[in-house]
Amino acid sequence: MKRFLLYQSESETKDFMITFNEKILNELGLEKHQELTLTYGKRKQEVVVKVHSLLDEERVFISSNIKTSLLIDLDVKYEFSLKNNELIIGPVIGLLLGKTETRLEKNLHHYVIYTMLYEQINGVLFVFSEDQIDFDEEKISGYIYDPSKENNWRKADLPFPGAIYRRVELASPTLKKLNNCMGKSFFNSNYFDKWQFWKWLEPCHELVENLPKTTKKINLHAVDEFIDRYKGAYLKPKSGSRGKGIHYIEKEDEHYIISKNYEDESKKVTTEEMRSFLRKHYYYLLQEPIRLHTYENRKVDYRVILQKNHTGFWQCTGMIARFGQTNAISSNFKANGFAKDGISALKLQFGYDELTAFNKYQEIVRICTKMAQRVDQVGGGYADLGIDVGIDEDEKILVIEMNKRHDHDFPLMIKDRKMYYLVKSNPVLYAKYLAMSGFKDGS
Amino acid sequence: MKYTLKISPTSNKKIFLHANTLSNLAINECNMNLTMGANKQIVKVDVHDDEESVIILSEDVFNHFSIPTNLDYELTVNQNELIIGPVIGLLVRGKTSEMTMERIRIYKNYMYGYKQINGLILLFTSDGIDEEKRIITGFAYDPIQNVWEKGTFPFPAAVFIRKTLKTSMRNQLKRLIGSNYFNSHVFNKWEMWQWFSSNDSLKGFFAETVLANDFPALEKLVNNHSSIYIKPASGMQGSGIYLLSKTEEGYTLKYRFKNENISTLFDDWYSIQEYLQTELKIERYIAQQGISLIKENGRLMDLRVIVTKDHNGKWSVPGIVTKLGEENSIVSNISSGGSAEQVWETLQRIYQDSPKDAFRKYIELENLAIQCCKYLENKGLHLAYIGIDIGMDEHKNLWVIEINNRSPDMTIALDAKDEQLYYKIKTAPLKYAKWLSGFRSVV
Repeated sequence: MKRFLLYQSESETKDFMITFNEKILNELGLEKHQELTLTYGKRKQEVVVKVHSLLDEERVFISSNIKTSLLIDLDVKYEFSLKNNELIIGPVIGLLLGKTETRLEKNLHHYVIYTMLYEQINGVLFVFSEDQIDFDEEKISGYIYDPSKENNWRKADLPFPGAIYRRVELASPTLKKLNNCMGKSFFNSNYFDKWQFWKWLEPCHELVENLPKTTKKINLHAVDEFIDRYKGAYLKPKSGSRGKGIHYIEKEDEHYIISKNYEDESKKVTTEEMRSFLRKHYYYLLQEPIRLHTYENRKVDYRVILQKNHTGFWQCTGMIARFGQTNAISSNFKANGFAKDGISALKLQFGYDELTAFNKYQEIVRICTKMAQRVDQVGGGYADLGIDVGIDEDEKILVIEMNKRHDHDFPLMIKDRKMYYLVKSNPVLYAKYLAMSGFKDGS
Repeated sequence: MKYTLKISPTSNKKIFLHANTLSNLAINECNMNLTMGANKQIVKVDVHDDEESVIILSEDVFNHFSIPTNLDYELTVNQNELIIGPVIGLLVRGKTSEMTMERIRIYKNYMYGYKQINGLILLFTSDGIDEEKRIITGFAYDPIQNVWEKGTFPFPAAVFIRKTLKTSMRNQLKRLIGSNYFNSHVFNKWEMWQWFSSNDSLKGFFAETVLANDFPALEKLVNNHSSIYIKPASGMQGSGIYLLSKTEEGYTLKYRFKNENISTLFDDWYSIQEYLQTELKIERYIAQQGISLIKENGRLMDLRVIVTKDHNGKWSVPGIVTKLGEENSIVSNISSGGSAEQVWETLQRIYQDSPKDAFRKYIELENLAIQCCKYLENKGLHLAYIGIDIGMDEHKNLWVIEINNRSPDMTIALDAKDEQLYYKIKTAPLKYAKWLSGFRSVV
């Protein structure tokens, strides 16, 4: 892809003019005196095309009023993309990574990892925090990646970008306003809890097969029904991960037994005590327990990293299996467990040969992708998901949950640096795809 | 969603679907164009109360070929077209009568991922085509028995070509399925150079090439680059390669003969020319600028990038394998004593101090290979299953050595002990063919 440097033309003019070398003009498919819309991030300006025969191929001149109206940064190299009569200069990509500028600034050195493939991204790649967004002026003061600077970042005023990747908690008014002005080019934008996930997928017969049945009706009757059908029930908080706050309920004669994840002791309670226990947890979910296939008494689950990349399609960046602490309810763990790459884990856990492991892996990816496509369709745009998958004693695949701000460090647990770098690079490559394809604003 | 087909002994040109299927596929027309492979027929759509996963066809629909009813099919809708399939073909060498089970067993290697494909996979030869009836006599894959069953079937909607095509055959395919056949083009190293040397951004990745019987050009090439390779214009890498070097005493010619490295000295250009003219069919050779490829412990290496079209119709790289030559051999060929490994291993050694640079080089390799494929595609070649050999010189610059699409040897993945990669590669053509034949929204 050809890269261009933009310059501000010297002469004062009332017209909005963009000037190219003749060869480049032809390559882009433009004509002299053509009027078109110039797009930079979410800003647009009607301009007239000019030609200058003496101009270097990689140089493009813009009149100073264009620079002001579009808020163009002149210190990076850009690519052009022509869609109908719209010329996109870009990409302009924003990574929304902080609540406050103070925090963001402290963490800037951590964010360089997102710029690893900048050589093929080009344009403006900037990080910003919630409090740097100015909705009235429709601009953002962010930090542009600039390797010529000592700490790699340079502060600048920028327009709303062509794509935003979100990876931070946001106040709901901010979220609403960003959704309004960015539409589909704001991705991983809306977080959802376990209940919302169930509601979105429930209507799809084919997908619901691979989900544990879930309800938010928390009462004795519902618990009994679950125990009848599945011999037990999970009581789970709607959000939260890592197996925190999960209770397992089963029945022994006339008593209920409640076990809490990570605790050795379980409680034996009467029907009345059970009723009051459920009242205290009225905002929880009741879920079909997944009888995870164990390996030497360790629960195993699989973290599937599903991301969109430069093609705009979902693909599986990697799969990591966690072998949990012995005898825990779930395999969610940090301590006392170990991790393996997905294929090795399938072979170890089930004794599969290479081909069976390959096909099981493909099936897991296919199920996760279908669910991600559904979530995309009903919940807004996503491009970076960490999906927890369990395989039960009948070797059936069950999707436990989808994490939107998932832990990117998972590949490091299996010492796979290539996977780690891909996990960090894919959202940026996808953002470039979005930014250069000129999606319409609004959803 | 998978469906089974039932044929009903009625003759009213009807297809019966379950009410849920109709609503899932948003079908409300009563007349639709039913497509199976390259066959279309107008049918009436009706509702049945059998199981949801059943499709019933009245027996007068498509009665000129057999439709195996022991397979799982998928359904998709494209405007007023209802497609049952996929119906995918492999066009192979030879005649139908010569296709013994022994001979066609090898093609099962493409069926490893059948579970993700479903439908009717056909194996046929050019004499099995009946263009007028749009059918073939050939073999259908039976996934349950893992065997090929002979019969008369619909002409497939997409064809993976596994032979050299004559122009008449090419035209016949075009009439039947337009451009839905792939990997039919064969080009030699000279044609490759002619194409790529006219592309500004890719030219620099190719070694300068001349026709070996153009002696003035050959002499100039060896004088400019001090050593050049003389290789068959077509033909596999490694066999019949000569290394011609200019020395102070004259010229040296190195080659392998009966597994020995042989070196011959020549005093002047005239004797070289004499030798080449008498010993080689020189008009079948090309000569290429020698690149001082990076060596490890005296072993040459080059990198085989596998490029395939994926289930979304996009170019992707399932993997890259390093081929390490035998010590002091002029080729890095496994069949002549070399070995192979996953490229990530190699890159981590080359970039010991910076895994990030190793990653960037990996991505650069992927991108270069994909750019080459896209360029060939723009030249009108429909490709989807390619092996590209890329070399790295002492400055770590990349050089495209060879592009192989006719029969890229993918067992290289097995040499690198990466069975998963082997399966990923082998399953790619059918996944792409499924996309080509219209199954696009489903994974």
